[in-house]
Amino acid sequence: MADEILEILFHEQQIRSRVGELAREITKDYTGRQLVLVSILRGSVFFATDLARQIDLPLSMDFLSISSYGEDSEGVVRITKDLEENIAGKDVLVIEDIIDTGFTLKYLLRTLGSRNPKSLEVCALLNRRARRIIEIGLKYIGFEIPDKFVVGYGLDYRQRYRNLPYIGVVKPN
Amino acid sequence: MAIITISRLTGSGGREIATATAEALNFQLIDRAAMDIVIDQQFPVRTEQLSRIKKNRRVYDEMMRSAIAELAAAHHVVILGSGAQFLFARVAASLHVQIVAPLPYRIARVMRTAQVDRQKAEKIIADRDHEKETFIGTLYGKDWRDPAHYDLVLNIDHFSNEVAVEIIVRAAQAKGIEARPVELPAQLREEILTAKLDVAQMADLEPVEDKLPDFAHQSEREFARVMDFYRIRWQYEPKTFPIEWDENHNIVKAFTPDFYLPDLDLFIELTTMKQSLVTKKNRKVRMLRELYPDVNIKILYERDYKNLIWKYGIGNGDEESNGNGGSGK
Repeated sequence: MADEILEILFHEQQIRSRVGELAREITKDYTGRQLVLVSILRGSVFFATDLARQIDLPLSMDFLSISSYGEDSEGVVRITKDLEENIAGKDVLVIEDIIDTGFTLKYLLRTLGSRNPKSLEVCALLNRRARRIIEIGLKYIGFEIPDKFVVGYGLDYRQRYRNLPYIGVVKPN
Repeated sequence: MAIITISRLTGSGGREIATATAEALNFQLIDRAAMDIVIDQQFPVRTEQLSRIKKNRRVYDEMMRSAIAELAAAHHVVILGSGAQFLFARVAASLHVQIVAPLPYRIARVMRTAQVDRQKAEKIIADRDHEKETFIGTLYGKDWRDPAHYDLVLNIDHFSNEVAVEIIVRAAQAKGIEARPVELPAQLREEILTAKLDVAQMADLEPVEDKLPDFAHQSEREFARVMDFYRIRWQYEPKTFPIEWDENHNIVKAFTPDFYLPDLDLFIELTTMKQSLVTKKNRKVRMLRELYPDVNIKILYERDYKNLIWKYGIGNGDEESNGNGGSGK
């Protein structure tokens, strides 16, 4: 365990088994449909690729990145890397690492929804309900987590810790 | 990239055909709602300012034209309405389609889809077609009904939607629109630039800070900035709820939540103060919920607020912006 990690919330094995369960649910729900996984950069990449490998369906993957408040606090949120694929008429599943306030997700759903997908749902690895301001329905949730600062398995603190195989709580500094 | 424009007489079902064409060709459908989002993307100014700027018809038209043109330069698109057939009239990689139908067909269709009687349907058709005529006339000085402006005019009374889509797809292939790059005429490129400059200038003329209300607390100002960033419309203290009356029905206690987010129909109350006041505030919110069960209100406590501020790296301007990789990306 890295020195700065206070406790481990979910071990590698727990994550693997939960991702497998989600993949089976998704496989069941999306059979016979045109599934597009939209992974939101950068936090959800590990989750999205692990999940995709266990979904037993033909699917396509695409990636989207949006600016965050701190980078451009004078402006407004913008897409910094758009999808390569056209999602009109497709069944889109947005893959997110963590849902907090719901601000980012709200913007994403509004933007993607305007492109006329056949369906638009969300699969979030972590749900930190305590911080929610905007209520948005999440079709798939990996784990509910307490109001703590977490890192690992894609989640960072100042771009570090993304590569930890587990999800842990970082020590406050 | 390739552009298909679809213009339609009101009640001809052109939207369904545009949607089906976009699906058949795997093109992106651009309707009015999609266009507003494209405009939001291309003109990065505060939502509040943008809605004000959009009220200026000339500038809004410029923005719309610029947004469509930039989008079409990068993606294959089917554009529904908005006079796009004139905007891209001289672009080789485009196909311009008009969907028409005899008036009785259109009246019957509007009666069915809008669930209105014949008289109302006739009025809807006359009004919308007149609006289009004025819009195109003002913007391009052209008669939108003139078939000479189109590559293909389809009378939908004679074909099923499936066949109509097939004809459009074949026409697009025959014209070879996908094989040609979209080269925007110099004049259009100049217009895009002008639109951007106009909007930037208008936004500059209205400095953000001057337009903000007098917030009671710095925390409210920061919260408003986060809302602005995420293009969530907000109103500051727009409504006061009476929560206690005396025996003569005079209001003795009222509560004014800090923010209202109209798109979410949600009131937000920020509490970043000492515990004794928080307890008082909690009581007010509880009373409000009892008296107005339909009102959605959320309290953000100091801890919630600090998380928000820390996550977005505001307050002290340090580099914590990634907050919890969570949304920081």
